[in-house]
Amino acid sequence: MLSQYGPILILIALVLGFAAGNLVISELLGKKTSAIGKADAYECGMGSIGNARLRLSIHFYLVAVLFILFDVESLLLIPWAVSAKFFEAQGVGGIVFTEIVGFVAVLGIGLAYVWNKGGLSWDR
Amino acid sequence: MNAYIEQMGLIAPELVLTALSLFVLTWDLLKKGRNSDHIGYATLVGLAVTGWLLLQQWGMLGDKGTQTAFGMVTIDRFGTFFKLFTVGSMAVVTLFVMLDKNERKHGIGEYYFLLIGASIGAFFMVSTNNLLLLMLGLELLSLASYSLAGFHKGSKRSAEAALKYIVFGGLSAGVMLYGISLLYGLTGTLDLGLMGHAPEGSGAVSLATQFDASPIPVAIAVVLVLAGFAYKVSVVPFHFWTPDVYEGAPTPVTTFLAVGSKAAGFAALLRFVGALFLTDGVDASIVAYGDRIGFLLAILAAITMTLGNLSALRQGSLKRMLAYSSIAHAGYVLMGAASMTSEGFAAAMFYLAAYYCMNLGAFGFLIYFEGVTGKDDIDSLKGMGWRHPVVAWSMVVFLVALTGLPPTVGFYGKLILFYAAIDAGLAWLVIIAAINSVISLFYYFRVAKSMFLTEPVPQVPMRQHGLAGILCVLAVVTVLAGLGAFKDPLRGWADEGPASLEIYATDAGSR
Amino acid sequence: MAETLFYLLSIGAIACGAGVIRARMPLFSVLCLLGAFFCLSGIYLLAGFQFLAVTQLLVYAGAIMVLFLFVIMLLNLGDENEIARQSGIALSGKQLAVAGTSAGVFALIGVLTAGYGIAPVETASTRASGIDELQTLAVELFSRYMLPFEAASLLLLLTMIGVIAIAKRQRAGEPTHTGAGFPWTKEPLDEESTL
Repeated sequence: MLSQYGPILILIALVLGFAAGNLVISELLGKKTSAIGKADAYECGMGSIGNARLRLSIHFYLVAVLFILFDVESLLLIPWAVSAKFFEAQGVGGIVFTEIVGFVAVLGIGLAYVWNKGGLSWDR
Repeated sequence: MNAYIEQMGLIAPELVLTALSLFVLTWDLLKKGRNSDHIGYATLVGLAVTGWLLLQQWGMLGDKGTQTAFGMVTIDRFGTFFKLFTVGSMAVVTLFVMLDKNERKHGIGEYYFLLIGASIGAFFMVSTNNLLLLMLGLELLSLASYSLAGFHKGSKRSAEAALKYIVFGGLSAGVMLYGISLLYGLTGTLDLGLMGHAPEGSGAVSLATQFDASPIPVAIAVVLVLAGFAYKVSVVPFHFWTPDVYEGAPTPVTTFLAVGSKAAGFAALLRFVGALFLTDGVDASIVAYGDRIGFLLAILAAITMTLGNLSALRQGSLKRMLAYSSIAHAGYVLMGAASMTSEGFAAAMFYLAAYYCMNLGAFGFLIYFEGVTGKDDIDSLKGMGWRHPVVAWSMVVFLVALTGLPPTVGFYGKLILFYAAIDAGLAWLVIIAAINSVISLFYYFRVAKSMFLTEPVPQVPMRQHGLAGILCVLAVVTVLAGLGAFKDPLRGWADEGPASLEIYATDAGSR
Repeated sequence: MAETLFYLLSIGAIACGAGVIRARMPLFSVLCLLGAFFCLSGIYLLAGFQFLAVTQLLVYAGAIMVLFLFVIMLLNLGDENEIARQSGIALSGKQLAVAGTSAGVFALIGVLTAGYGIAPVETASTRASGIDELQTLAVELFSRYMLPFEAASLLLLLTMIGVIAIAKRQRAGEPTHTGAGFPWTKEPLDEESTL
């Protein structure tokens, strides 16, 4: 039972090893310089010197909650997505599809609402 | 396919409410938040349709008996009784929102949407035997209430109310879910009917069987679930949120929390206790355990009413006083559940109906008062009796009913509660409740005294005719419902409830 | 093997849970919570619920963790030494009492449940893994639990509206709330958006 997760464990080990290995290799082989501007942000980003405890806009919270809600919505659709053919074969495809349409329609109204109220755009 | 349509018909009231909520939301979007009065009227029409459907259902249930839709929603007279009152209280709360001077009048389509969403949750709560759907209904109700409590953005008290509510609510929902998962692990089913009595081949084990094998885990699971209910109806160890949330939330929302939300919690509690311990076919061992749960509830009821009343004595704010008074009333209703008889359950239902009338009135008065003075402390009530006599006299009626004095429905409600408790051998609880009623007289009378017996303070006379009219109607209902011609049918409806839950009538002598 | 793993993961989850309430800085609490979620996910895998395990990681470790981080940044708790002095170093008697009582209650539940040797009831649905597990779930979800499934969409919608109603800034030109008892104050949080 556990053996079926072997490949996943190997993958996790590879990922961790790759990340750690790159750090170690660059530490060993890399050239150390301290030029002016090295610590500056490239193209975009925050300044690397200063207080790390910034106060964020409440908009981040809004985006995070909306993300969770639509995340959960798509998760609830996954069981249907993988067994739609099975339902079709059983002859109940229509009913199940109606359920899904109802589910998505209700959340579609929510999306329209959020969009209209400017929850998706950054300013306003 | 036809079976589906038939079952859709059974949950037609819920479907109408859902359609109404989506309609309100869409309309508010299309209108860009203008003219929210139209949305209020649309809500009232939708609620009227729901109420009509529920009345049809009540009649249909008389012929056919209890029905089940989608294997989860139990359509019986117990649920329909509470649904009717939920719809009624929602209609009054909607009117309050429309008439409240303190509410923003623009862009509050969400307000109506959340209120309707909360009542859909209450509908599921009062009419399901399935713990999963019960939890979903509870969460619908709670999430809507959290957002509504914090609806006055920028007001610190409103934000504090929402925060306290969500923290306590999250904790108690977690506790309750833990209890439910234990129950599921023990019995293998989420259906309360099967938990109470599992026939051969149903794949479930009845709670009684598990109780014989291992009583303590069963006890813990049941107590954890009861704790979740206790939070929802603000029974004492879980009441801390009540005064702060009631005070900080917008007053129409407070009205809904005190009336609709609390009654839904009690309905679910009664159904849970009834299905597990009191219905036909339940084993004797678990019935004996049910009696012990009843004793636990009786102790909680005594503590709740005493603490609520004693705290209410010291409040300077009318809103906080009403909050503590609602805690005390939760204690009274719990007496009915504690007596663990069909008589007690019917008494609790009747008292909740009475509680609807008088508390809607009392909070309506508070909205009127806040609209006039902008304050909510009892001292500012001075002279209300002379400047706004109609409203003040209505309030006196509500206060008399809340105290439980004749000739109001509150008196009669308490009377049958006391009878039921005495029949169940809880005479000590009745004595405590009677003493509590006397204590409550002091602080209710303080309001009346402030209104009539003190010199009026100069204030701008502002008339709110619509609100005054509703208060008058509620006051008349409160008195009339206590009189024979109206009280007896109401009593009859309440008696139908436990009967439709198939709770066997226990006779007093056998205890 | 599986049993050892289960106990290891449980101990990990409990240790992380303790870390959440004992960490000095809120961000460390969040990291500990992340650890607890990973341990729980492992336990689900051991029990054979792959979909649940992945969901746990996607929703909790992925989305909800981000939300927690944002809220902590939003609240901007400021001087962390202050927080450390208040909560991290010593437990007050009251805190100890509460923690002790709740730990006691849950330990009691655990011991009693174990002591009585309850056999959890096997449910009717047969256990399957992989795609079959998902299909079993789908059949249950869309037939027996159809109504809760639809109600869940309403729950999500309600949350969406509630969040917008509470967190969204007032539109310009929209009349603000002018309740007598609740003076409208400007939302200070929006004024200082830094990013």
